[in-house]
Amino acid sequence: MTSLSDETVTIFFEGKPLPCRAGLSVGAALWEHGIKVLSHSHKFGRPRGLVCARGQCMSCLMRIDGEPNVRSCQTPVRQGQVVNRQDAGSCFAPAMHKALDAGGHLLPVGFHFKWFTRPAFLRRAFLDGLRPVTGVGKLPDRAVWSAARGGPPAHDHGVLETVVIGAGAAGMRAALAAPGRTLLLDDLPACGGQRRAALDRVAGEGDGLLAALPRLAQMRDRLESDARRISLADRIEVLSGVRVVGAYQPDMLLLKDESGLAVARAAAIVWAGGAWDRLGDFENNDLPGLMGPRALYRLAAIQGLRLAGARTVVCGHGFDLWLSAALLHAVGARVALVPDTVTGAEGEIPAASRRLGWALHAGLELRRATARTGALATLDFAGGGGLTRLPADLAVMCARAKPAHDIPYQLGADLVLDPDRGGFVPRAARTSGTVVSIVGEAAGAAPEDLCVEAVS
Amino acid sequence: MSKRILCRCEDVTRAEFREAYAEGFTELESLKRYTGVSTGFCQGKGCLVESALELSSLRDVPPGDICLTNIRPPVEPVTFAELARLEPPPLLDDLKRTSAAAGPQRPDTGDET
Repeated sequence: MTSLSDETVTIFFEGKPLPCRAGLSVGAALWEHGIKVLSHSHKFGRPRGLVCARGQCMSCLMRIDGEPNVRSCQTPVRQGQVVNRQDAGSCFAPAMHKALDAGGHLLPVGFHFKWFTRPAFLRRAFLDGLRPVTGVGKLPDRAVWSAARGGPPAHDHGVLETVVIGAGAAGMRAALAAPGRTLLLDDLPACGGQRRAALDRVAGEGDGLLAALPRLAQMRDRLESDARRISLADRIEVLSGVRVVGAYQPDMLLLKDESGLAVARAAAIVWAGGAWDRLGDFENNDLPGLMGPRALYRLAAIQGLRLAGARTVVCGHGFDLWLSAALLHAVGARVALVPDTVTGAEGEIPAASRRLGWALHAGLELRRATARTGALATLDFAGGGGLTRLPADLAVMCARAKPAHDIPYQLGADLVLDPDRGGFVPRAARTSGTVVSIVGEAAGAAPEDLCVEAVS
Repeated sequence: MSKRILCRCEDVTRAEFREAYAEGFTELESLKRYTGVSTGFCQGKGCLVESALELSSLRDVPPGDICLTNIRPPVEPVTFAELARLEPPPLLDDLKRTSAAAGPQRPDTGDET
């Protein structure tokens, strides 16, 4: 699944030539050079970097080849590419960022868009001064303008029988269960979602790692067998590299791939869009280097980001705690495990940690993250009679993920906030009068539930 | 400076969100407009659930009483050049139908235009 070669390309980051492995995204390539701060937040000037690694969080926006606001996690490196931070080039930026980060809490809520709204000329002057510092508002280079012009009209898929969005565990199962012609959409190149890619990488390790972790082996078997059945089913068409970027009631989807937008409508839409990582609430929970398991799977397993020797900390619980630790182990990172609990279903953690050489720290509560040169350096935990400080180049937070609610909301699903299921989840599997039904993690299921679900 | 960030895109801290609540913004829809949570590039994927849960504890009501805010397409950035290549008629028809149909229920916060 990893498309990495040994080929090297040279990109220019803020004028400096950097050799990068072809196949990496710009964000991952910069990470390999130790550059984890890709941008700064526009209010407090806080460092921002790779967080979701799937093009959704926009923390990695950079100016690439003269085009502003490009997602560096989604853009592959290319020979001669010119990459810049958007706030680079303003000599005031560092000083202002520092001042706002230190004193910003004294300013009123929303000061940056409420001050100087009148008179108009003052607003103009305020924005003109602010934009270069924050790095927003600079237009693309003229060459980018002209290249974007024209092009063929957007493709219309017409009216389809069933569209399943998301080819992860739940989406594959839904496509197999659907009657008639079915279109299965996913942004990844292969079926099975990011977990299948991560499990493949763990299985490829070869030293019996997967066999030592039965719950991972069980999930992999299921994903592999479903992916095989999908590839054999003539009535299921798989469209990869496609993202659903909007929906219009009652039945219309706005799709986006490399060539641009497309529209499709369907008699039945199954939303298996999975869930979004939740990083948690602690001090400096926005530092580059903190991410969720889904981002780790994409970076380490799909993009092939090199993490050998990196000091990593995996916090949380559940299936993703196991898979994150196993994946980091497989790619040669040093793993420290801070599970929420080592009792009940997680009772095997101590034995597995001993066997695989993971440092185990139980009974700790995360309080804050600290930074060095803008990116994550340590995690500070309370518990065990004092403060425990763990060094970390990368920390993976495996908390209860948030079901992806945006597209089903736009299709009219009746959603309710349920913390036990992670976020906004459907009140019922199907809201009457809508064409959308919601399955899997998007409906609030935990990943482990997807594994034991009976084969239909 | 240590901060507990609620919304990464718009740089809203948990303290700011609570401050805004204390100022009298007690609905998610008005808090969104006042503080900027979930109005950034990611359209709330990073903070909407966190904000809703925070509000439910501030108001001391069950989470189920907090309604989702309006989320309009597109949910990811799309360029005008890409939009311009859409065949307009079917999309316009749909937009008209959508606005005519009753959307999901949410409270009237008085600030809808």
